[in-house]
Amino acid sequence: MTESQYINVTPHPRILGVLGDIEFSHWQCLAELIDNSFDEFQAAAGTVDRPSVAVSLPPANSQRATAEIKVQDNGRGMSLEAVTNAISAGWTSNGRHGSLGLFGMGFNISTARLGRCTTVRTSRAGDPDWIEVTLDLTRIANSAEYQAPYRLMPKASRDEHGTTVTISELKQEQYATLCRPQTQTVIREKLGDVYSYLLAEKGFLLTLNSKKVRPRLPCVWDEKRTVTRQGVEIHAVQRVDRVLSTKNACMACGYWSTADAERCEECGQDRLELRERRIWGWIGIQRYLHRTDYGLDFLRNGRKIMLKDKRAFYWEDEDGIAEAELEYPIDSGAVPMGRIVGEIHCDHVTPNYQKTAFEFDTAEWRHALREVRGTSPLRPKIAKNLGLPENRSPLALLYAGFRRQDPGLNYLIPGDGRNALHETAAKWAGLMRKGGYEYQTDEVWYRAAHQHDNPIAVDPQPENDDILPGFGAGLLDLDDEPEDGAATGATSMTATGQEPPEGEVAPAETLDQRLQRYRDNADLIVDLTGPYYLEELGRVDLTAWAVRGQNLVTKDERPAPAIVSMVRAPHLDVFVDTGHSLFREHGADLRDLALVEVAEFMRVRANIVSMPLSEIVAQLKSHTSSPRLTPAATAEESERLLEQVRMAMVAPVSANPAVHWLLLTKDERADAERRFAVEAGGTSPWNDTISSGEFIRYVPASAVIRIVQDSPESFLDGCVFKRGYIALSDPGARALVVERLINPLGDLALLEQHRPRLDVEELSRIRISCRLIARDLADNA
Amino acid sequence: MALQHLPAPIRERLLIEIYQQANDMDWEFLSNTEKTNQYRRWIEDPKVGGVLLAYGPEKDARVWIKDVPMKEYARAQEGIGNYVRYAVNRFQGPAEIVRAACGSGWTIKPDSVGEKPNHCYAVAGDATRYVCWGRAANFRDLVWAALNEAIDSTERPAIVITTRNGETVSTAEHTRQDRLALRCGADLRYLHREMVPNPDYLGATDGSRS
Repeated sequence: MTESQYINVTPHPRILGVLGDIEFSHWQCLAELIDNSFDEFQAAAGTVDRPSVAVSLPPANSQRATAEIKVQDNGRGMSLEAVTNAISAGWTSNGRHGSLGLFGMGFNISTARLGRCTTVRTSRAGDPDWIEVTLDLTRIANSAEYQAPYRLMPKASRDEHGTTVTISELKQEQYATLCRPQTQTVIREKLGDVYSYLLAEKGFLLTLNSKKVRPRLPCVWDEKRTVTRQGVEIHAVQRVDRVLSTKNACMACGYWSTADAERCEECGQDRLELRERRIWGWIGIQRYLHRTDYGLDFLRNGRKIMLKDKRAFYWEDEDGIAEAELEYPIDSGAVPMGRIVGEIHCDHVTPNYQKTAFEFDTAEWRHALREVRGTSPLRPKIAKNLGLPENRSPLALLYAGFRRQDPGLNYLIPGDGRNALHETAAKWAGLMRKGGYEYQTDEVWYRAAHQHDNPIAVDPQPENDDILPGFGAGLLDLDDEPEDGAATGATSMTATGQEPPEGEVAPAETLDQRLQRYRDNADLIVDLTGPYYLEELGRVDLTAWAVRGQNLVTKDERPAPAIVSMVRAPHLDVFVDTGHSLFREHGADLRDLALVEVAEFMRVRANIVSMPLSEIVAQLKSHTSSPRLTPAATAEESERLLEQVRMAMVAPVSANPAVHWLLLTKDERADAERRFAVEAGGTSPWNDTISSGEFIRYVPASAVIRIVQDSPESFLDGCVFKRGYIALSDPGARALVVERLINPLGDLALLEQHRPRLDVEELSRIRISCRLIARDLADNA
Repeated sequence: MALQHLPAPIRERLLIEIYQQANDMDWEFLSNTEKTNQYRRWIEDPKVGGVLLAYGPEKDARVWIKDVPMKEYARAQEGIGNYVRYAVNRFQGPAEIVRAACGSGWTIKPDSVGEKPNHCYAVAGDATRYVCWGRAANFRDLVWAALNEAIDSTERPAIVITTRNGETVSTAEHTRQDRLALRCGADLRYLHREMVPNPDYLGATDGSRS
């Protein structure tokens, strides 16, 4: 039996420098140091007046020899013992819980990654000196000792306190990238996103090169906005707040043991601390759709660990055997776009060492995810088919309310009466984040969604046919009614828009009052409204108004179908008289005419009248969100509408599926089955789909038309389409109603099933068909 | 300018509102673009522009915000000028500067505080010293002012470079300024200052941030 012998396994001091080889991006290195300060502020719990961290990066005109990176905070500062621990790799003051710090390694990894020399200067209020410790990695590696010299420096005032980390002797590659303005912009935006909660809610100040890092705030619909599904009001924001049972956190390994455990159930050590555990935050609906800019943020101690994460949108069965299925977004056509966002705080879940994800295999993480999205599929029919309980999680509720993206208030999507204004909505979000005053609330988006349901269109019948436009009905009571019928509304109106009392001459309406009267009788044309910038002609902030029942006159009182007025630069109002014969009888496009007036205004203002008017209109038009008249865009719109028609047909078809199924040809049945196999992923047998009537969702458009034609009474009268049918007794009239519906539907079907070469006139016709069908869809469709 | 006729109570309310907002948004840390955007937002803000536009055209309103309250904002934070009472938070004032520049035992000579650059005279017994202070970016003005004093005085003038939370000065810049001050015969001190809630504040304090 020999005595135990030992070998010394102290790592070589070179290891401190080697830590810098671990992959950390620039912003992550800085975030590690910022985390230390932010942790300290949160631990100090309100004793620091205005928690501030100043980060400085070398400017583009710096020299590498003297360039440095600084992270300076106004925290409570450290004693000599505390600072010794703080810079020693692997030491951590508060175990693996309650702090953002990286188990004592973050500081060493990030400083070694950026440069070869790090100085920490710290002092507490009341201490006479600053303590300044220098970690010179080259010198430490060359010596056999882990030793860092420190010195004491007198303070200008004993009240001074805080900690400054300065990294110098920057590595060549790091320096070359970091001093680029573009890199600094990216870092600024990233930090503004990662720390948005602490900056916005806790009032922490973070500056980068003496300029404030702005929190990236969520751009979501207000909590008061609702949609109704099956009689249930669903708010656009759902709160999450679940207090979990108190458990014992292991300060050594991070494992959560039961509250009565005396030793860690994972590593057996006795360094346990009872901790509160809570999952809280919100999920909501963004005011715009995006291909990537959506998803949930998961935070730990106020810092985002995962940003815009889409994990919650996949359904995985309990066993995790099958591949996870994407459930959202699945309703947005060719390019999937999403808008569900959120901020979930789960301070008790262990992040990975890079703080870019959580440890997904822990019970804590699974619980957090379950709290947000439940366990069943979000898709109710799929859940039902699989025999799983209905999902009632906050995410499932939002999903039920907002999974689709049809324009209008029914789904809270801005539109212009014809199409969704996705691009405009995203543009407004940009203005919101730039701090635009009127874009802070969701009012602009809401108005646009409302406008879609109450579209701007040419007045079919001018209102007040029998009295002069612009006059109240009270005009009829006047004795001295003008005989010539000339509409000089402005001259005989009082300033208040009331009729003048008898015997008095009304004061003339001022220009401002006249314009206000137009606005009072107008709807906003949302899709034209917004900023326009043309290189040669400058900028206007346009507000476009569709005026009803008023005759428009220019400043010098000339009547016109459309007029512009600059309220105050760069705000420009354009008014269009929707009842004017130019639109009503000649069919001119009121949006185009509005832009012609704007173009003329801009060209005169810039004194460049040689610039062709039509060219300016073309450039303005490219700024608007008007849908392009391209085969692809039109085809997508057709498909979207047909999809809506099919969905709405499921209920009436399910009343008697066999009758409708028999109408399909052999080829159509085969087509439908193939499409079902591709889209439904075989979650339920095809035969069940036939007998439930669900098959209608997969049949080709030609069959949809035949089924509608065969039994219009099942689908009209507000069931799928608004138009009335049953009440008509005359067979000829009935046939006519069906024909007027089938014609535009046929146009849509043509595009869905073939991609013919189409000229502009045919495309225009199909676009109008789309509008006609959209207008005719019943509200529940 | 049309806006000179602003009634005193309305002017007071506007100053309180603008300074409160400037404090909340950390005005001194905004980029020039952000400041420009903010002037536009103030014009659109019913509580600011909405009131001002009743007293004159928009361009005058914008000029007023820029040239009256915001021009004085930094000085008000120093505790200097006629607008001090509108600042929500401010620095302790020249006494703190004198303490950092000359040590205790020196006091401010009455009525000696001036501006461009911010300066005052410190006295201890028969001795009088010139003290000027400002941000590192204005070092050139501080040096020039100190030089002009040094050639007329037997006492060494003192320059105090102030920093605030959220602001740093690089080691290279620091070193260079030390050498310059030495060459010019001026003492140079660095002072990092914290803001305090303004003891002379006129507005309601419940709305201010803690």
